Amino acid sequence: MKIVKILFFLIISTSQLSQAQTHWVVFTDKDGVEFDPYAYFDLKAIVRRENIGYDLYHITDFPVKEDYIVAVSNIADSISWTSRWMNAVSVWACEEQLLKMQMLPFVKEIIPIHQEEMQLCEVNTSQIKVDTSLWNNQLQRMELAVFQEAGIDGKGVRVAVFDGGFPGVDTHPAFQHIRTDNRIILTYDFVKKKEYVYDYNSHGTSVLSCIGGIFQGRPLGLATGSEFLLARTERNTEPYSEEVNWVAALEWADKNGADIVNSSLGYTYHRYFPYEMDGNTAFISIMANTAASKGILIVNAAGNDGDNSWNRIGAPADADSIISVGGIDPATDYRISFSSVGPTADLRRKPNVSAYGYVVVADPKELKHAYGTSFASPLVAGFAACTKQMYPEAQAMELKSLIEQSGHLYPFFDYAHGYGIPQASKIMNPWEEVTETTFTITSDDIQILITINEDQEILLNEPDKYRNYLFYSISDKNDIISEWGILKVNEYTLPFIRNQKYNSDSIFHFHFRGYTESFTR
Amino acid sequence: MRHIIFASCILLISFNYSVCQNTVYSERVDSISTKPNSCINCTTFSHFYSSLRFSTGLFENAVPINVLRSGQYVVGFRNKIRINNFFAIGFQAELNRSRFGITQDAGKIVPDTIINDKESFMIDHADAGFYFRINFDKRRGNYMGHFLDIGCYGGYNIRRFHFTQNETFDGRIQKLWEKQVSYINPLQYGVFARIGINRYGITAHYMLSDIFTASSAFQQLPKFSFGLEIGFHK
Repeated sequence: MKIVKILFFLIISTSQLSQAQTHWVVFTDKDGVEFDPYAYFDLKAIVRRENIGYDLYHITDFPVKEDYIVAVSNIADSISWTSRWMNAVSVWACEEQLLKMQMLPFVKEIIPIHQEEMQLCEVNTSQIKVDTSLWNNQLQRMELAVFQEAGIDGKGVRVAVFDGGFPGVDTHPAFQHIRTDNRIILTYDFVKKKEYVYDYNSHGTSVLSCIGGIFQGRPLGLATGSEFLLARTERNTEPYSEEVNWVAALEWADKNGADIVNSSLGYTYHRYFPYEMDGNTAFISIMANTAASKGILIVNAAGNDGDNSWNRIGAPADADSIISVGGIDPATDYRISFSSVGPTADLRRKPNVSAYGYVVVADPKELKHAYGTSFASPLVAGFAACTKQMYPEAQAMELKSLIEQSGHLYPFFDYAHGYGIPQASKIMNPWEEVTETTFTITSDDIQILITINEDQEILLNEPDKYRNYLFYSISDKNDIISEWGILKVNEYTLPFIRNQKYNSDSIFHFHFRGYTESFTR
Repeated sequence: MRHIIFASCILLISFNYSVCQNTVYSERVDSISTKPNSCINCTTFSHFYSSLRFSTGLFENAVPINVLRSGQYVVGFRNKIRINNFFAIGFQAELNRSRFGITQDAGKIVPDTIINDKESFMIDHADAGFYFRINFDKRRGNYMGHFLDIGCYGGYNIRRFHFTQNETFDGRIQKLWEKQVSYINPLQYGVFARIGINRYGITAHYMLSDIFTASSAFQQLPKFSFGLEIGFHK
């Protein structure tokens, strides 16, 4: 009898299945709604739209019809956010309430909102003595000096940062220059629905420092002159987030004139399957692409699942129109072990570029070391802000293309490093073509032979050891890569032998010191 | 001669390869474009698991047992067939080593009234079970999530021992195993429930059958056990 009671208790506990859940209720139309873009948008948002020729009266920017919101709110438990882009309202409602809403003639569809864990792409941090050479290299690897010499620091570019909190940003000396110039334009906590964001998870503080921090006169990020919008979208006390916060923050950033959004987080196995990482399944990936169509460049961490069974990039890093950033190990100058790899499920090229995945960052106390593509992403966001400053008329997709082409490996690509680490010198002269060959390729029946040009010095000393890397990838005629890697060049003649048989359609791509060549047998 | 030349060439090429082709990093890509047949939250999924279960005898009219000397160690294989994100069914097969340490006091009557230094029943059994699963993470991706399993099982008691240990008058330890004792039923069956979070679970088992045969007229061993389980998957 007792066991029956226990089982009964366990079954009763399943009653939570019928509890209210969050959903988007999408409406059919915006008929009769009035909209004044000049009253709604920040001036920078209007300028951005005009620059890209985007309709100021685009239907996606019109507000959601008030009558519809009232009708739905009368049925739902509560309403959290409305989305102009989706023409939808997010509600808490149980199945019964959802059925009633579905019956409303102006409800187009009801979409579940995901409440599973959204991971901050941080592996761990350490509060040890700061390695100044690492601090120096995380920016010099992207050629900080070139930007500094040209006076480029992201000035006039507005960067929105979505994260779990920004404690210390209002007091920390690394952000003094930003506070002094009143360059934190707006803040909003989308979890607590208030303006104050300087509490909860310090992940955002560290991320912001990688975009535009300066500590003791030395920059931590490239965009030290940019303006910022800070949005808290992730919860701290419980590591769960709602996609709705992220989407609401995206619309808020658009309204308030963001040029670039940095988002160091992602959804993986908690919500999705690897085969769904196609850029069109995950809700936030679709929204990220919408933001790109409105001229916002989103820079997102590739993710830290490279060393576990997920392995691949998450969402929204799978979105087509955004920059996904992989992590580089400063010690080896190639992929850091945890950095998620591409391609997307529909075999598109991801990640786009890479930056250091182990860096020096600000935390609420002082500085620390931190691991994660969370920090590679803001380094590239800072780079993107500098690029935007140089090319203010460039659209989001043009910026994306420029940054890809500035990668130190470009036009070589692989699914771990993308096009490599963005180089400021390539942004200064984006159309300059590399013509100097560094190697030649020959082939016989047994092997492909790479012959390094004699004018290329083979460096064996530690600081330059990464310059001896020969990157390779093997793709099919559709440009889909099946294998990639790095060989260390110890001799001037280098046989390239694969255990696997490749057919005649296979294309072998090689990259050595800025020069890329492809080869077909 | 030609063989020697050929072998030398191969050796030379191998040597050249080992010297020059120093791979510092390489990776291959597998297709993820299609939905796999088997993954944690796919149509089917199988995994091994292990469990430790404990019987207390509390709240039961059972033979008093020494809790510290009793327990069950289980290894098993489980298959899950996903119906939807809410429900799944599955079967499991497991090997269970059960030990019931009998309390040695004046009231002891099972299987006899003799007081030993140590005494226990050990039963090795092979079970097969069926379960119905309710998942609480309605919109989850590729992970197990929070779940409740309710199921039944039945199996054969492969080895049925009665064990005693006593110190002899000259100080030696005498251990006595009585094998395949006739008063232990060869079959057992019962019901179980399991609540779990990803790979971890808490189980409750209740044996509907009797361990001792009706003809023995013994008071029964505890039928209820609870346990901790770990699934060998992500």
